[in-house]
Amino acid sequence: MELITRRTLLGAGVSAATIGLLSACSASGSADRSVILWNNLTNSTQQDYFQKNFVDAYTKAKVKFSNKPNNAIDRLIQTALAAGSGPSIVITPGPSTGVPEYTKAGYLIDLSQYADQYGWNDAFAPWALAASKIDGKLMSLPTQFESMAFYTNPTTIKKNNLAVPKNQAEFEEFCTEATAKGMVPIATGKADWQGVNEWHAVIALNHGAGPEAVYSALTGATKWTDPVFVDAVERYTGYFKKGWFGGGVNSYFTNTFATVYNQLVTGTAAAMISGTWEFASLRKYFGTEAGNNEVWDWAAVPSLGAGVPEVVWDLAIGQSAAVNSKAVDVAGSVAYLNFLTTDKKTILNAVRDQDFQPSPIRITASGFPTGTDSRTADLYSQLAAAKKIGYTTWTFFPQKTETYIILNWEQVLTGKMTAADYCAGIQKSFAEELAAGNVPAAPKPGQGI
Amino acid sequence: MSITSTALLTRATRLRRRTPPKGTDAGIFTCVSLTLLALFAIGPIILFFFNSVKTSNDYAASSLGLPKTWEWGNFLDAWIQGNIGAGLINSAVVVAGTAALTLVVSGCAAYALARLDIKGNRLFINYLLISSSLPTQMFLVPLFYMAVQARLYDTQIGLILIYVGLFSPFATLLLRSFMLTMPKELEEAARMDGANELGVLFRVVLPNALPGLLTVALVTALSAYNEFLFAVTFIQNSDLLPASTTFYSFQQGFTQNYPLVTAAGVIMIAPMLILFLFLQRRFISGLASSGLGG
Amino acid sequence: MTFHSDVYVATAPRDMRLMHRKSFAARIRDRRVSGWLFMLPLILINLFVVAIPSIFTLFFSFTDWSGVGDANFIGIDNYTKLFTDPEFTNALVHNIYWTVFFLIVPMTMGLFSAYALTRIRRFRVIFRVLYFIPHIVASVVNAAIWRSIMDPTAGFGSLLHLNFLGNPDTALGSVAFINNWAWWGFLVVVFLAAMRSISPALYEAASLDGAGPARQFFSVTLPGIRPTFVFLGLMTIIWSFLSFDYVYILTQGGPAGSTDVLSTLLYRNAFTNQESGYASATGVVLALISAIAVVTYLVIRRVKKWEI
Repeated sequence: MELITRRTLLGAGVSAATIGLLSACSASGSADRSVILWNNLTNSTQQDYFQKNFVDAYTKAKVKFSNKPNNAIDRLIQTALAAGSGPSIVITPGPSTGVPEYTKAGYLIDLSQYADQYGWNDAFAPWALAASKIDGKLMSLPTQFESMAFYTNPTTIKKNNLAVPKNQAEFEEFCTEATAKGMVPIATGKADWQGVNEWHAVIALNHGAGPEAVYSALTGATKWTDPVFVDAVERYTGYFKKGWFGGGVNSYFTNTFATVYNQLVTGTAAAMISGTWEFASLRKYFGTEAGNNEVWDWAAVPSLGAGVPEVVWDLAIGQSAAVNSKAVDVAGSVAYLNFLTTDKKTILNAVRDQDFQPSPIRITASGFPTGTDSRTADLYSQLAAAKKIGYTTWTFFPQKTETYIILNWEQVLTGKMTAADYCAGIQKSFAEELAAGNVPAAPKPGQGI
Repeated sequence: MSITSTALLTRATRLRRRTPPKGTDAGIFTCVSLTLLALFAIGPIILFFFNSVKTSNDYAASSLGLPKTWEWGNFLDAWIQGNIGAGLINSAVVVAGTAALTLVVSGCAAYALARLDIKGNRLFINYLLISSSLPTQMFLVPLFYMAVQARLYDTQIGLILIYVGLFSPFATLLLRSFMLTMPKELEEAARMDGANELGVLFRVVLPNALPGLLTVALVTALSAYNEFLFAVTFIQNSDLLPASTTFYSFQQGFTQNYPLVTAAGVIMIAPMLILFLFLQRRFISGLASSGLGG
Repeated sequence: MTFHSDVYVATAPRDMRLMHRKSFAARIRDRRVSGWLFMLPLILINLFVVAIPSIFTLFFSFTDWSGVGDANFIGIDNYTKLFTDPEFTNALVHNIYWTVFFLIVPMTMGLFSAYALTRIRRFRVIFRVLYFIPHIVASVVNAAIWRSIMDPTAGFGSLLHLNFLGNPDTALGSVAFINNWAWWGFLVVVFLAAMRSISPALYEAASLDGAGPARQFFSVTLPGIRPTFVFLGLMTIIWSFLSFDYVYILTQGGPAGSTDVLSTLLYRNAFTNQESGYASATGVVLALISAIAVVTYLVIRRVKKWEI
């Protein structure tokens, strides 16, 4: 096998001629030392808030922020990095996606050297920093911490005489009763985001098979083909097939987020299963911003398998940020990244004002500024008391396995693939990536956050 | 588009049109079918328009009926919140630049292929045909690399050059076939008078090929206006984003207000729709009869 | 299907070119070479936007390139993998369904409408304009239009209790239907133009023989537009294999891979699975399919001596 340096090759054949031919009509030069950041905020309110408080308010360097469509940002960053360009701050959907490949290609700087300077070891939750390391080097910082939750509209629950479920039996009863009342038991849909598949896979694994089993498989001690996983996947996808999720498998495929939220507001659905990132989205549908008096509430995702604890907090880094080795001002970019992920005041204000997801820095419920939604403060006090943690695919699973889990979840739902085959596929992909050293470090399930 | 040139075009079209076969008494089946097909073509757009002036609740109840109230304010809201004005201006720049440059590039090449009888003519035509039948998604990474090296990334001129590259093979084929239908006498006369090829091209051929050029300009403009994948990849600065990208982002950001997204969609299709209705003869006749009409 | 690669166009009638050559025999030698100067801008821009990226695609198809970083030569592994990959087969089959759909549905609608339009006395221009309008609407907007019409809670989907885009059995057909909505009007226009060049005398003769409209269509119209018909048929095959926009916007290949086509598979492998080398191989196979279709057309054209 012969090693080709892509850049040399491209460079030799193409760039000389291209530059000669086209640089005459080029844009301005590279004297600009601005820190460039691409992000994917969902609406203009969030974009404006981010621009004002995370970009304009940062005085130590000029930051240029531009927002990208959610479906396009990962491809845009990959394409740009491959071409030797790209933003100074490289955003990825978690530490296990993109970061390992970019690290291998040498596109990112090793942040370890800055850890002491900025005191990151004290600032961040240890599990989050551990998951952000590749071969012992800190390659990214977590910008968003999230977990999975069970959402309800208390009015709907009360009116229909339902009880928020805590375990498998209660959950099945909840869904049966809701169905009998003509409701969709669990609002969900993947039309806007294919990744919704993995939210459910994560719950099937961590709450159906249990975090101990997942941890064991993640370390390679046991296999994903273990019956505990097969049963969990079969049981959970069985709920879909019964029509409990989204009102049927087909509807699940076409439900948009707007549909899902509306079902929760109007009581068409009894509950919603999603992540804590929904806090920010739900404010557009509930209460003053939506022009109604409805409220939402959250609870822990119930246990869905024998022997699985009733409260398991799935750990997730929803977004990671790294520094491009081609950044014009590397030190300035690192300093900005530090601001973005650890400036407690800015971050907590954003939680208060826009329900942004904070980074996994050490936050206590009492640390939030006054005016913060009590549901957020509650979440953090519960998280602090967490006894068991679970593992999300977008934080602790290697990339190809994660992609496999997303794509083939639909095959299981539609009956084109059995749960056993699905798990066998996960095992096959995972074993390869484990051997290649692409599996991030995971904390033990018994410890807190 | 000046009035005179429009008039000229209409005249040219009229002259070039062949006598249609005599209309016969079509059966009731034919008339009903044609009307139903017309409804099929235009009905969805009308429904889309209705949806754009509904309230969110009205829309959620049904996406098919007439609006209960006419919320004209949706258009203003969409215009402001989606930053559509800027998108349309950027599109105008990219579309005009693409069309103009394509005309120059393809006009010269088509002239050579139609009139100069160059070596390898046929092979080159086949190359052009194949080069407009490739999966362009594969070009993203190499093109991005080249654009960055040439400092053309995140510039409108870069996007224009890519569009010209993508659209010019087809434009050349279309223009060439149009030029083949033009009489040669004028060119020959000009050559007899000692004009060089460049002179013949610019003083004789291009003015006479104006209807064909306009068709090609319109076809290219439409493609550039509607293109999305390359626009979102090669323009980074949000102040430079064209309308197709603006609409796509807007659609993602405003999922909770579908009528607003719809209003943005209506605004986005309006310029091309108006242009088409104004120039439909040129658009349709030129496209169809210059090449494929046989 | 996109607009820009829509038409392949006529070459000059052979006799005219000969005439031309004779009358300017003296200048030909010179112009045959200098003519390339006129093509220089096109060649240069094509080189940078089409040819070089194509060469890179071909090159990367023999490597394990992930899309970032360095690449290793792995010979034809990507190609052998293609033919054992169930996702590739799945997508290829969908492309074949797609091709069959576009060879039948829009062709029939286009031929029928164009023929019907030649037989009515009034409103021909209006009909033609109406049919063509969907073709000028951007695919992102078309997708939004039909998503709302087919909506399973507020649109026809709720009336018919059918989830067009969510049911794996109907999704591919629905996406093809939506793409066709924006496509068939174009065929009407092209077929109509071709039909109008058929001499009215032929129809009169057929009419005297007692042929009704249907017989006239098969004995006069169809043979009269055959080159256009065959050309569009072959181009339909090419475009069907390249088809990307509508699947990407409406379903991204889902649900459960039921609408996956080669171009969306290629896109996903390149940008989600970080298997650019493998995706390049898919791209090369797609290009080969296009090339085969083009060559087939050229051969047919030569054998049948069509002037188009």
